[in-house]
Amino acid sequence: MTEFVIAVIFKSLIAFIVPLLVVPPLIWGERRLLGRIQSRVGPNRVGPFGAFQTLADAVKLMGKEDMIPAGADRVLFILAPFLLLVPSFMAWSVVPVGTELHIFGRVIGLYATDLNVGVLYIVALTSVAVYGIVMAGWASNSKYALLGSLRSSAQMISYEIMLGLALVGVVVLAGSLSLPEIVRQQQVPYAIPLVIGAFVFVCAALAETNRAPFDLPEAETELVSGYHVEYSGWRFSFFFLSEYANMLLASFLVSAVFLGGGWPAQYLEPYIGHLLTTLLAVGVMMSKVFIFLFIYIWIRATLPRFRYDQMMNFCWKVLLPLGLLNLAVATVLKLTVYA
Amino acid sequence: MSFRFDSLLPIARGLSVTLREFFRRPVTIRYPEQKRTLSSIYRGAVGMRRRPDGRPKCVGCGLCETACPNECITITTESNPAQPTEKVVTSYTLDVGRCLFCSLCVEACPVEALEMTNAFDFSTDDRSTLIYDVDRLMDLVDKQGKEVSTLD
Repeated sequence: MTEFVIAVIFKSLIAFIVPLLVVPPLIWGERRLLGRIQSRVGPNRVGPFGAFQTLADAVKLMGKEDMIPAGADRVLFILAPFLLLVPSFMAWSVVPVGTELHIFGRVIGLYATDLNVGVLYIVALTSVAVYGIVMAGWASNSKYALLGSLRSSAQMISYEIMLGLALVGVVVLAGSLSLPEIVRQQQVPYAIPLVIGAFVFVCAALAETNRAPFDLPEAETELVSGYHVEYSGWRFSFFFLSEYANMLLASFLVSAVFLGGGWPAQYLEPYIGHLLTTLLAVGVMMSKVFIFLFIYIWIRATLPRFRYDQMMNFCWKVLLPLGLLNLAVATVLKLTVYA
Repeated sequence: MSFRFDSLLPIARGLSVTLREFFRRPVTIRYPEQKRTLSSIYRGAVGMRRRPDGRPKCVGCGLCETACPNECITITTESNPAQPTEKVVTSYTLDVGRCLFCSLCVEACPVEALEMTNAFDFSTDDRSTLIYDVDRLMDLVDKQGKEVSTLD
């Protein structure tokens, strides 16, 4: 029992710390990549190749004045960043880095918990984040923030459906809502039979995390920075952190759900043994995550922002039919190939 | 349908452009460490030329002071008792912080004592250090590595 408790505490800590540790290099990496794509260098002054730039920025943000604008709804204003940050960290508890590790006669799952409704849990938590954004925009008592949060809530509620729809196809094929089980079920990554679903999911994930080309909620040119204009200091850093944690989460989800996690490492198990295979699988999973993060940044560097009506058209007139088609394909496959 | 799937093609083309740029060298000049080579006619701060004996070439006529639209040149002179026809320049200062690099002083000078150098990096925390005296003005010319004119 104590062993179980220790394992749970340890894994929870990892699930909490990993996003915190990965987000600063991710922000730095994004700025460097964007710089290279735009024929410039990017941050290169703080530390080797500027790697500590994000830390310096974080320290700067912590040192800034914590301002609450006059006329703001104080309770909501203070609550909003937490409501955004907490779900994006809670979701990490079901994200699998791999499947199971058998070591010293024990079975250690490479995830904080194997929830039997894991997919539902993640979709539910991403919906909670919308409340944080709406509250932040409303409580700020600023027209830019309000416009940004209205756009954002409309966008996130619409694209959440597509996110769920793309995942339903996977759930149909895997016959389970548990993420490790979905990873285990993939003899072939689901991105191959469900290529439409993968496309819908990637688009919806871009929109759900408010990334370019769907970054309308924080459109700098029109809205300054959208729902978090009035936030400063560490409260602002919460928004920033949750945005990047969500981006990371989306990358992990795509890798686990559509790209088969550690696939094809598990086929090497008879040759190189269990321990090496598991480590290799985690490595493969992580490289998929990083490739997807690169694609995220690459798309941001390439595409201009959608107009609001274009974005909504794309969601309801393109992704919704595609998502339904994906569901049909998944159902047919389940009854034939995967029967 | 408002969305056309052939519109994905230009997106792919755009992605290939950004990917190509990613592998290209940045055009950035890392400024304090690297400096770009200036054009030979680059017009930076005004510098003071030297006579062959190393003294400033200025004769103290005050034409540059008059020509300067920003009044950034200040000259003080006194007469030389040994040679009453010649003025002695006691101080010549130029406020680089006010100078607009118009070159009117250079054109006004009858003895070609002034020239536009290629010095451009004189940023400082203290404005008063931007008032250059004659030694620093001569330094600007010296640093350029240009020959001291033999014209007297």
